[in-house]
Amino acid sequence: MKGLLKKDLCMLWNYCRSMILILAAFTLVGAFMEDSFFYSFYPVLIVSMLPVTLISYDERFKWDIYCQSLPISRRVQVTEKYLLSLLSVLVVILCCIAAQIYRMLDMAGFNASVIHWGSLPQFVAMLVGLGLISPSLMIPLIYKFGAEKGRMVFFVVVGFFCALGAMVSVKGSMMQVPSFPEFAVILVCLVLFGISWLISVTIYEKKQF
Amino acid sequence: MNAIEIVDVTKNYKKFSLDHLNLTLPAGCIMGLIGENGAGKSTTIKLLLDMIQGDGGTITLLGQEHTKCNKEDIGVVMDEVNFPDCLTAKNVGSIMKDVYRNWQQDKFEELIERLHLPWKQPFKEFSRGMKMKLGIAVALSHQAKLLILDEATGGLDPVVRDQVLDLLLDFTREENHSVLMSSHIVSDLEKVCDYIAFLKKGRLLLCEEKDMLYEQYGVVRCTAEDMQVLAEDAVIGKRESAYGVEAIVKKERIPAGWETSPVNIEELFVLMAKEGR
Repeated sequence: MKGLLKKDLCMLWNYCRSMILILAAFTLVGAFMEDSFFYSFYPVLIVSMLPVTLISYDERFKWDIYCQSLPISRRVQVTEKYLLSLLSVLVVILCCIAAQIYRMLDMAGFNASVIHWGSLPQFVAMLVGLGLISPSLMIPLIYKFGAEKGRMVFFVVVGFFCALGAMVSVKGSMMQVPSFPEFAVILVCLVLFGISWLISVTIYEKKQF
Repeated sequence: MNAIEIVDVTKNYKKFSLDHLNLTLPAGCIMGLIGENGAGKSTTIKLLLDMIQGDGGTITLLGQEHTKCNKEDIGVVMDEVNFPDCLTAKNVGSIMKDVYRNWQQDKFEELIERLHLPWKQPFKEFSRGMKMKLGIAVALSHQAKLLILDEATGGLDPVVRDQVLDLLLDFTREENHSVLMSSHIVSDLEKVCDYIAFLKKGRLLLCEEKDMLYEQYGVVRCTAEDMQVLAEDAVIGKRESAYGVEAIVKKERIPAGWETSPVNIEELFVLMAKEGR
């Protein structure tokens, strides 16, 4: 696992350096902007795509094939990608939270007593959702169909659900969308992420190279 | 103990089948796997490494069922060495240190120096020969007992090929170290192998000790009329020209008095592959 993490970090540093700079820039800008919605969520969206980018690189260099000759089980190979995904999303979320807190303090003239902290859990829940749902859907598809086809299937699936959502919202405009407590949203995202990992392991253990 | 035991292994694809393959590589030996493109060499190696699942039969590596075999003991070099192209030899050493419990950094460094590989040049700037040498350096640096090489000498210049073959011979000097290598370059296999296995269209045509092949087979040169005298099963393959016939024959199946010259594995392979087309 440690060897794989080291290899992926090497690849991240070499191929995704500009992305890391963009993430840092957006997070910083988000801290100073009055309307930071886009600047806070964009870094999380970007970082959520990292494991998919790394799997694509592995495929391109045929590292995924070579890896089968190493003493690393397929389960560990998959787990490493999920772990890296979780860690990178966590780091970016923490940075975004720090930027958001700074922004809230700045707007309140650094008077913590007048800040409405109640919006923070909602903000965190949205970041977690954005950071985990995309890899949860994408990674199993990429393992099943490969990087190119997997991406296509992902866009088709997402497109289908968006269209379905649009139809439902038009036909049932009176329908109320239930609101969930923030911790439940985070929990559901984590459970989805776990289910996605299980599916990916099952797919990868049966994969023929 | 045998390093590799393949018993009745079958793998079916839509347009190709590996047909009840039986192959044994005794420990301490080098086996060359020869075959045309699409003969099943890479399929066999993928089955050994559990990259694909067979449809029947059993495979034992170093005395253990192949899916449970400890891959620490197996060094692998594929036809392409598949490291991400941003990595340097130094990065590869640092990664492999955390992949293999038995990683020998000293040995790896010694091999890198011996093979004149750069430490800090990225993999994308390596020539094919350099890539292959790096792959072999990794395979030889974790105390493997069995090396599996798939077309590892293909596309290399003769000097690099010679270096690679020397490394393999060094590796087998240690007791119980074994090598399975597939190659199109039969002369390389002839130089280093103890056993030769011929695959054709998914079927094993023969698997024999190299010295036995020299003993059992010979080349006869005669006229087309003389050729008629020989029993059909005595002739492995033949090449006819305006000057006569050159045939590879089973020595024990030809009449007394016929002179044979020593067979060359490449000729044997080419004629066996041509026969029955």
